[in-house]
Amino acid sequence: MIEINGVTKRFQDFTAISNLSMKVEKSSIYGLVGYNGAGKTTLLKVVAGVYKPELGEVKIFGENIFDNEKVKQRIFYVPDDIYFETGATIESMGKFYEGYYPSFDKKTMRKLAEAFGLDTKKRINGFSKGMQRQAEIVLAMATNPEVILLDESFDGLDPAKRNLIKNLLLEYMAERECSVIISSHNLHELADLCDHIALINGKNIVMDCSVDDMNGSRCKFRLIFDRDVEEADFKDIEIKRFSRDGKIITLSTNGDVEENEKKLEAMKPLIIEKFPLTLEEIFLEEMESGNYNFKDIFGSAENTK
Amino acid sequence: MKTKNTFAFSLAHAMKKNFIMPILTFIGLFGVLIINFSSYTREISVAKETALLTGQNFRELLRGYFFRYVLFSNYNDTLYFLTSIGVIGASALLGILLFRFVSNKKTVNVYYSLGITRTKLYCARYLAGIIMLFAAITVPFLIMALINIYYFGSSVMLWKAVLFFIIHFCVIAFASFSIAAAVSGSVGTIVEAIGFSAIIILSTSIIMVCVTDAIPFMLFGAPKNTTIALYNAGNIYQTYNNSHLSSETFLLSNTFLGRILENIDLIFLNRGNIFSGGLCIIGQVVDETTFNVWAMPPLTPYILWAIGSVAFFALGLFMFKYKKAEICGFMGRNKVLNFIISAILSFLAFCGVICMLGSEINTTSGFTFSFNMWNRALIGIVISFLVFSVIELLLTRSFKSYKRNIKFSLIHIGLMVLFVFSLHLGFFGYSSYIPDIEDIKSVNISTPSTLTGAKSAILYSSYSDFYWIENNLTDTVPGCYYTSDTGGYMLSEFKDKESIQSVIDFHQKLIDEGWVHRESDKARLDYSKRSVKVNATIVYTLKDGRQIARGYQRLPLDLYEEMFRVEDTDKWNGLVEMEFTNFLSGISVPVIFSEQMDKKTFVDENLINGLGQAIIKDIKALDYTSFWRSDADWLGCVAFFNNPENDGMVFYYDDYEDDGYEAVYQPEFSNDADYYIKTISERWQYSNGAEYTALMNDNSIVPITSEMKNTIAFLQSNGLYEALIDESEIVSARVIDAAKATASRSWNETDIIFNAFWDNGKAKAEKGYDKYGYYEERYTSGDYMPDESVTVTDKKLLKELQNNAYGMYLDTDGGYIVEFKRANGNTTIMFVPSGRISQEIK
Repeated sequence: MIEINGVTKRFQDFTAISNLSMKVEKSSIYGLVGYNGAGKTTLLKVVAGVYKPELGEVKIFGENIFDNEKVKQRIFYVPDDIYFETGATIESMGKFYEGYYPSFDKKTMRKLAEAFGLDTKKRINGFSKGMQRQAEIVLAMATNPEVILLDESFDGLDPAKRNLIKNLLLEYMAERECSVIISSHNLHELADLCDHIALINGKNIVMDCSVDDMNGSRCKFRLIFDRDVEEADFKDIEIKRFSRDGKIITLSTNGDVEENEKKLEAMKPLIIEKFPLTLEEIFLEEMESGNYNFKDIFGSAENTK
Repeated sequence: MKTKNTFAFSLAHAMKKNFIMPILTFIGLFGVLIINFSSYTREISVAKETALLTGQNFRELLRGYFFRYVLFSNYNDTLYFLTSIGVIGASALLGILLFRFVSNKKTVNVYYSLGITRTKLYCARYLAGIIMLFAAITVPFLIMALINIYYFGSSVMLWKAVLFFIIHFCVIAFASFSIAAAVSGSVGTIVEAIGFSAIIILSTSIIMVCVTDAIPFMLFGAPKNTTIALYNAGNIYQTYNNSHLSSETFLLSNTFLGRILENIDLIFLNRGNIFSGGLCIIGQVVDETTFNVWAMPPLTPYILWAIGSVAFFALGLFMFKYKKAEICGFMGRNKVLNFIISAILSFLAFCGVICMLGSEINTTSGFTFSFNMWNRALIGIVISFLVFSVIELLLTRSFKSYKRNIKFSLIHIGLMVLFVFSLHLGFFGYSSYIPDIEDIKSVNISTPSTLTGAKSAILYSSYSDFYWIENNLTDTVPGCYYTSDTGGYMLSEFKDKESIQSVIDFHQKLIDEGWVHRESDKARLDYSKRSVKVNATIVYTLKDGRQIARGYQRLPLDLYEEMFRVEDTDKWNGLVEMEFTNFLSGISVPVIFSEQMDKKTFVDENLINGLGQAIIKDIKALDYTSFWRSDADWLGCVAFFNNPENDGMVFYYDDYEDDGYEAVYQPEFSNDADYYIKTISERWQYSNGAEYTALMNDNSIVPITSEMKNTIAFLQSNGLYEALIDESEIVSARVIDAAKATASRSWNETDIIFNAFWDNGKAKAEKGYDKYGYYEERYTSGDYMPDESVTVTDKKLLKELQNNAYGMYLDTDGGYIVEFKRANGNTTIMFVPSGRISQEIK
């Protein structure tokens, strides 16, 4: 449904994303993960048709999205920095979106507002940040889009509302077979909600797979050997991370979990334990953050006295 | 699949959210029209009352007074221009407001992700603005049309005028709106939207002012500050130089440049035609003459700007479509607009430098310097480049980006250099061009000075070089002995071949002379090196209707004097006669001044007309030299004062004790001219001076020489000849070489007409105490002669000086400035031309 082909987006001399490709199928919830400034918002804006890529294209429903009226009337973009007209209410914003979205349904809007406990006749700028986000979600869903793009839309929401939106999306997706792309820093939440995850690092996608595949290919093992073992001894296994604490070795692997397990067992550890990696652990492994010795930064206690 | 008419929705939505500005425009415009209309309520009330009394229909009465409509007022044309500027400003603001959403990241996210193409979005918002502006402008005029119909009845003139103004204001509104919309939709910040829109809208006026003010400094023959007034003797204030237009240039609309500039200047669009159509189009009350020639001004400028608006719309649409959303919130990201703005401002800077350096600088130490045109151009180009660079850097805030784009600034500068060169080299024959006499239908030429006999004309003067160095009376003295050039009135058409040929010959001399630069004060000791600051303009009207205008701002003395030959023409004499006839119609108080201006005698009111007619005959019979460079004996002069009684003027006296103003003096006609004049001068101290000025400076001076047979005969036959004879003998004189006394000049150059009447013929030394006990030296008193003056007491020499002294003289060859002192203690300063006395006085 959404095809992103070799998209490059530059801002003057700075390249935000480079030659990025991915596909989002129907009835799929795609999670976009990346560190701050990785290009998640840029990518979403390109998909929404706000930005035009320097290279490549984005196709939705087989058509190029940029300046495409018909296609855009079927998608809704919820930005991280939401906007409402001055003095607007949910009702008035509903009228606004009704003018541009043929599938907009006022009844749906009111019901959703009720579900979120929002007064549609009250001024939105009187709402809290979280309530404003909820209002935006209500309006988005009221347009009955076939593609929803959510940019950090869970930020500022309480757990109950997060859960509500999660269930809403799942239900909506099941009913309408829509596609959703969500960017978020809340990896735990994404892991629960999404069926696909894309990790953006260094202007590109470094990992793009379904959650099931991810679980099936990433795993953490804790091993205890009766002898000294180095990382090189595990040459047959694709190791993402290796750490040693005395005789306890912790490593995360990529590739077929069962096969890796067999290989590890063949090394005759005293103990072998297997754990699935959380999305957060996968994220941290993939992002390769620098190891800082903060002692060097702030100085030791003796030096400062 | 469902569809939505997103265009219609966008249009309606844009109007709903941005109606405030159009409402304000409507209120403002309607308010102005009502104010203008209400300025005629008196006439309407009078007509109604008269109609009641006479049983007539008041509408018919008003139509009988040539009322057809009241839209704008003749008496407040400043308001008309402020209205135009207000409409332009409001329209531009509306354009910015309608497209402000592209300058905000939040709104960009929403609007660019909506289910509407950029083309539709732009067009819908643009159309919303156009519709609202059209309504805001049309409705007030239609309402006023109905009001006018009620009072004056319907007429073709009314509807044409309504249509004209609707077109005028709609076009300037649409043009400003289109520019602002195009700019706002293309830049990243509101600051740029406002700033760039303002600069581009004003650029048409900027270019006009720059071209007409700066180019004359570079292009020989280009008219400068060409505010051409066709001389109308019946109304010397009939000019096109209204104060609010004084910084603008009004070119004859049929010159090539004039046509271009008048049509592109958005702020003052079609101004020339609107004002030159007589009182009709801008006014409403017309007399029969103007009524019969009433016509709607040409609509060419509006067609051009309508096309321009469409072009800006298309450009704006193009830029909006391809505008990168990511530039919102960032300044200086539209390279094209950056360049345009930088180019306009650097051109403005260039012209400003040219104008500033074009004026010669005179220091208090007497040193004069000026930049030659090449230096000026070089400095202008350097400053222009710096301004261009600074603006670019301010917009982009990136030296890297500036370096990358430096080629554009070099191209811009290169074009300017080429332009300047072409101007300095005569701009492809412009400077040397004179049309063939066979192609010329008529020619207008400006006068060198104002008309002899024109009110206040000869007396008006400015700070004199005579006192610049020696005395510091220029702060307190309103005028001194050498009058400044107040000329520049355009003499109306000469159609005969002989006159045209004379003008052509004179023009050729000007061309052959080339640039005349202001000489240093030291050089001015030699009269042959002197020049005069003038505003000499020649306008040819060709048989095909085109007009060719040329202007020259500085002439050598010989060529300047040649301009006075225009006073020998029948046309000039006819104008003098008309002027005098108007002058004499009950408002003048003639005073005869004796030879040395020691005696002043009022002329009986019964003799005023006769005296005037005698003078007219002499003026028509004699040539200009008889008045400006006479060889005949100077006998005295006649000054025609304005009688404030006839103007209904009242003098007010501020009594400090009572802390209020009261009318204490009503001028009375008195045979004692001295008393009359003295009483006024006392009051001057406590009034705002206007009344004094009105009386004392509002006069005409006509010299009386032994050649003026008719005038002399009239004086003799009416017992007034004795008024010319001073009673007190001359006992001594202080003399100074005129060359030395007039070598240094003030910043405001003086003319070469010596005129002793700036202080109403100073004859009395007045020092004393006023009624409050404050010591004063009135400006009519004091020692005006420079220290280097030589005192002469030899009787023979004194007689020679006296016999050759003049109260008015065109000083082109030098001579002596002489202060005569008489036995009664009075003094008079006069001029003795060179070569008139037998010995040299050192």
